[in-house]
Amino acid sequence: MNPLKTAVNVVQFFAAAAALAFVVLLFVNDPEKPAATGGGGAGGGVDGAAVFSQNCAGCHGADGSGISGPPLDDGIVVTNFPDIQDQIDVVTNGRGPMPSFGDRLSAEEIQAVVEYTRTL
Amino acid sequence: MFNDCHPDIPHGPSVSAYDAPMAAAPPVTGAPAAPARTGLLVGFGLGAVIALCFGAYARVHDPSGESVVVLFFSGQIQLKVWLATVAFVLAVLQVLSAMWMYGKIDIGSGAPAWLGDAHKLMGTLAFLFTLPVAYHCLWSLGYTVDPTLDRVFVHSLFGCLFYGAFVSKVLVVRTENLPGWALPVAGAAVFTTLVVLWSTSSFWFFTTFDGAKF
Repeated sequence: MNPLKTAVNVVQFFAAAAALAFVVLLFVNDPEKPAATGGGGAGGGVDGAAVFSQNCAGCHGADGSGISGPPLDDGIVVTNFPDIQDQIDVVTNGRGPMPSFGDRLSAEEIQAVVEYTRTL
Repeated sequence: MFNDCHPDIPHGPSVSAYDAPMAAAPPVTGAPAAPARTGLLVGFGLGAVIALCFGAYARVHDPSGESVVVLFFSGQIQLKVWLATVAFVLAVLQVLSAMWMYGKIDIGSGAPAWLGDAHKLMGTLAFLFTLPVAYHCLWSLGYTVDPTLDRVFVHSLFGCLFYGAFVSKVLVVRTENLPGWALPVAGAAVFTTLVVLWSTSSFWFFTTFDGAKF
């Protein structure tokens, strides 16, 4: 058989399988649920940078300079949210295109990541 | 384009563009025959449904905001812009190969026999490269309708349209007795939506941030 034709058939098979997996994963891949919290408060034991990298960098950039989401660096969040609780509310409940993270991150993780963004 | 044809132009009776040999057949003129009408309706109709389904999912699904896979790239976005760029380059090559097969560009002694398979391979690979990108967009970011974010809104809209156009193209190219306009329109829709997607993501990223870093 023509090797190029064989390659086409193999790649088309993988494309069909990948398309199927694509659709299935859209529905079965639930975001991680928050870990049990000890009552909230400061995010002392949580690495805010790690939480940011995993959950926020996709939109706000690895360094917080913004991509599809607005920039968070250069003290912007401190300017926009003088009261840290207001920023925590946005992260927890979402606002506009910003998704809510209240059902995905624990209160400690949200506290930690918010504190981290205020240092960028 | 994309996973499609072995386009013999023009398309002859009872021959789908997908399966037809490279030899030219007489063009179909006038109103499309019944199988072509049905095929076109199913192709474009299903494409519209797919686009709507993507949009509905992206709106209804609660965006996870999480990264999916980074591989050897420095971040999720870097992976996406490069995969999209590879898909874009493959799409450009596919359009050029289609033009060569259709005799729209003259390179030496005409299109070689292997060009049809190469055309299909490039299209299928391009489609494969878009899947991880689209997955992160749909699952992690969702559909943005914020009017202050023009680029993101246009990107969201054309992302849904792209897969609808792609499904239409894959179905239309297998339809027999196609009218002459059908395949170019279907192919142009896929290519145009991909160009808009790439322009509002990868190109924007390369020109806005640190250039072409991995």
